[in-house]
Amino acid sequence: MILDLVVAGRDTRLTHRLTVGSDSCTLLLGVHDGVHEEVQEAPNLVPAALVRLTRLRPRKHAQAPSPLPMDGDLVAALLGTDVDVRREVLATLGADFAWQISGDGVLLTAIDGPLGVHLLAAGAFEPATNTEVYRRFLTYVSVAGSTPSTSSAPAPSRAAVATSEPDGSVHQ
Amino acid sequence: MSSELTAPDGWEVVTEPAVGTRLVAAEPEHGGFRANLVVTSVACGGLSFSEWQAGTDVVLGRTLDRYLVIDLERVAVAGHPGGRRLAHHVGPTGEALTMEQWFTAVDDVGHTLTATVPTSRYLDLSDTMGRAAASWRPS
Repeated sequence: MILDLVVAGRDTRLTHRLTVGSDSCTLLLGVHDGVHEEVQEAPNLVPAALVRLTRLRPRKHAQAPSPLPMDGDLVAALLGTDVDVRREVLATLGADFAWQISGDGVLLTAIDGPLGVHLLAAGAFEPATNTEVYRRFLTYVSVAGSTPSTSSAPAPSRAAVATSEPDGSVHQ
Repeated sequence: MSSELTAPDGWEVVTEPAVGTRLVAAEPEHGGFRANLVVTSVACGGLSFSEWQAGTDVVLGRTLDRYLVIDLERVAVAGHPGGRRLAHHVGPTGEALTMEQWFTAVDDVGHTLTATVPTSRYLDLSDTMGRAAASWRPS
């Protein structure tokens, strides 16, 4: 199973690719523009990796969470490479950053920030708890058919910094 | 003093196994990491609820391998103000573990119920753990 993750904030936009197999997982982690680092990880640690990469963490909400209407056409802008447009959409939503996980039948789009994490559903970002998001992440490992081992999980290892986008395009 | 909790059917239960540990319940042996519930009670020493929990998070971060707190919220525990924490850490043989913890302070004693399960089984076991937590009456 291949999962692509885009994490887009006001200043930084990173892309990551997770290739999850039954016995191994390769994380191609965006470090900065066009530069990726390859990390080998045990499949059962993929949910934790997603927690880290999506910066899912407890936040003190500035106000009670509520749905945030979202024009579907703006999702691409929210996650896109145009910094000015992205900042404008994030500011409109009161969010610090957005992320999207896609691939193999998975599509999950979220914003996060002072209002807490919200998941895109039916034209609006609906408030969600971090636990709900974590449970979604766990289903992706199940979908990948992973049967985590209790005794043979490999220690993470890192390879040299890669210089290609997950889509195969090469950056100098 | 007693700390009442209804453990899942068939689980091994040990009460007062160590100072401060009121109860340990573990699922039957199956050759892998055994999901478990642990109830502890410690004196808060005059710390506020927030101070106690801030200190708890520091300790967890220092003692658990690759500790990662995911969720932290205020919830009532058996009618007392309390909280719930969800976290990830790595077990002694490299397995991913998910820890769900409920806590409250009553009369300057901090009571904590910690459920630890292999992450791969969290979706299957979270309801079981939740029922045990709902049955918990710290005192």
